[in-house]
Amino acid sequence: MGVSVVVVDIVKFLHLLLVLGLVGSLVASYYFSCVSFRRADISLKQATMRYALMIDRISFICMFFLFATGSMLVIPKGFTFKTPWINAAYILLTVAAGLQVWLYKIKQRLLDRGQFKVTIIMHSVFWLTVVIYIGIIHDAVTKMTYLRV
Amino acid sequence: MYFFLKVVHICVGILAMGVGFGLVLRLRYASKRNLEHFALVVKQALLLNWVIVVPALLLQLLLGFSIVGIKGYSLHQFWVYCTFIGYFFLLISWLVSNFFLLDLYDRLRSDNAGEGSRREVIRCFKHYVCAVSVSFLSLMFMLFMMANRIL
Repeated sequence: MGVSVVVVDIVKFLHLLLVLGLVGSLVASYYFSCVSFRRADISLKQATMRYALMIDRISFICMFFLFATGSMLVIPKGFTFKTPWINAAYILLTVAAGLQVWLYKIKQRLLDRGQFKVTIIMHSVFWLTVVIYIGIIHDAVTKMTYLRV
Repeated sequence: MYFFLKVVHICVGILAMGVGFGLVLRLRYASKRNLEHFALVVKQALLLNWVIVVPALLLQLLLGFSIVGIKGYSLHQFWVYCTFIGYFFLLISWLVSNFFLLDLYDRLRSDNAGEGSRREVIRCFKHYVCAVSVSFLSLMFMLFMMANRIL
């Protein structure tokens, strides 16, 4: 087994670990926000909002490394940057990152105003992001996409 | 069918261990605050654990066996064998960590919230973190084996 093969194996492993950490922590953050904002305790709500913002910041770092590790895997795995499902994955991840930044701004504004609630926009953006991630996972597993660019 | 199961396997894996990771971060964040808040967060974490994480972990085993069966992998293949060993380490350490979490919740529910009590709580939380660390190490081992199908 060559050194490059070992490096590709490690990069693939890191890529999967990042997906797991990114999506899972977003789901956990959403759950804690939903259950904590129902309570009357303001300081608990404030702490939960700060935790949600921390998770968002971690997810931005994860997304950057997902782009990096994903790009590093394209050529060694025998694909090109013109492969349809890889193009679709780049577009979908960019859209997910944009939605995540928007969600972060909404949360930051709510924290500044002292309003602690999960608005309909926050629910919608979260579920849309989850659908996008499932779409990317589907494309990566089946090596095909329904998104034609 | 294989692709469908594989997508579900990855999504359930995210629910099991990704959510588990987010949950540990939430507990770590809450442990620095007052005990009353910590008790609430531990209660929420226990609910998430028993309703989502543990069932998802058990479902992973079923999905794993189904995929192995459909693809015709032998259970004696090195990576399959190692993945199952990793899985059992993960499951056991995660269940042990849950019992530490239950113990932590019992301590937090008791009324005496003095400095001695706080030390006890932190000690109990450290036990929980140790058990969870074993889970995450097992997860990394499993993930490496599954992703690269070594030997």
